[in-house]
Amino acid sequence: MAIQSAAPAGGAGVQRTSGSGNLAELLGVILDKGIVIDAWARVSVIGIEILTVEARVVVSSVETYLRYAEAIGLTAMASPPNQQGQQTGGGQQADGQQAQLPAPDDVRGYLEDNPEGVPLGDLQAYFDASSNDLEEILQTLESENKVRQEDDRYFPAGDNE
Amino acid sequence: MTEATEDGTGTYLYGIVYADQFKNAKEPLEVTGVGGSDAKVRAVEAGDLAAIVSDAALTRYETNRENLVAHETVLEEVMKGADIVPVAFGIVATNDEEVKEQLLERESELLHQSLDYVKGRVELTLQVLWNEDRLFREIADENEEIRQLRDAIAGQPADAVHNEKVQLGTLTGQAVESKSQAEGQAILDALQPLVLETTVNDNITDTMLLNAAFLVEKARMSEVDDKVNQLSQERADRMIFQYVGPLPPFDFVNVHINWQE
Repeated sequence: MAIQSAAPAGGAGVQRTSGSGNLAELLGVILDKGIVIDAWARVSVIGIEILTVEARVVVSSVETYLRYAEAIGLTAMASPPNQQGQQTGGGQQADGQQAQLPAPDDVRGYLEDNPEGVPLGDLQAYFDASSNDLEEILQTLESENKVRQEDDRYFPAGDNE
Repeated sequence: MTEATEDGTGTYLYGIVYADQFKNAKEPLEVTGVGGSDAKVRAVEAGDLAAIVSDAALTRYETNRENLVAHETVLEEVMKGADIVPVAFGIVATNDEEVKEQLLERESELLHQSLDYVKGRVELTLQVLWNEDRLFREIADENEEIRQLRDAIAGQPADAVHNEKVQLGTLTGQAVESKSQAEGQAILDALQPLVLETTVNDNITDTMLLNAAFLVEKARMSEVDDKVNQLSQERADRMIFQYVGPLPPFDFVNVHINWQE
């Protein structure tokens, strides 16, 4: 998925740039548009450049869906902005996590998915739980030899010992 | 009648203008054409029409940066003094005579129509891309079903939830499409009163939400600038605007000449 930097610092607006400065723009604009005269056409399309444009066209495929799933998965790490004020009366259950602790197996599962090691802060963000709660769970798991800690990172344990 | 000259040099075409407008420009132009430093840009005239050309090898032209930028630069230089009907990249006639007789004279009516259509007008393009982090956070915020599925999957080993992941991705993809469609349309609606014509092209990436070309009166360019600026500022954290022009009106001149030999 294309990596985009954040938009320019607020309020800067946008500058109109000239056509000659933007290759990707040109590829989309000056090939096969305007006056085209078949008998005189002498274009040699460079494979790589066409790939650059076409490979990024939306394709419905499982791969695309998995990428989207990953991207949405990451949103669980940011604190959802609509969680505050979900506790106003009424019968409806507030959705999402309120003060639910992750199950120890969930924590271990997450560490297994991230074998390079996970700092406590990331676990907090991912599970939206307090550091106290997480440390308790991690301590329990450590005592069961299911998790180990090294240099401020937590790792799954018990597989290779 | 269409024999190549001895050294295989032909006449590379950039665009068509009214001859008297081109005389406003310095001749020859101080810009290098496609094919390198020998390619002096000049005009071939017939009646009131002129083709902007340069000498160029009768070879195939690669769509590389150097060539594409050279072609565009010639057009933008000419555009400073004339309204131009652009020719697509890589069109090379055998010689000047061919350009004069087979294009300018034979297709005179067509060329006059095109020139009159682009008179006093330029093309501006706008591509709008999502700030991806924001896009997916908005989708999560706006879709309970997606949130729940996301949370159900979180922390599970990947193979156990493959199907759920595909389902989550499919739902997300649908949300991306419908948000992009709605937001793109809102931007088009805001610009529509200020432009003459709009062409909407396919989005190039899956997080592009708008890829549009506008035909604009030269005199109204700064109004369009202001509006695009405003739209961009309103969306500053959510989207990235790429705004280009003035361009020769490629998207608004679709002339496909196919002679039966």
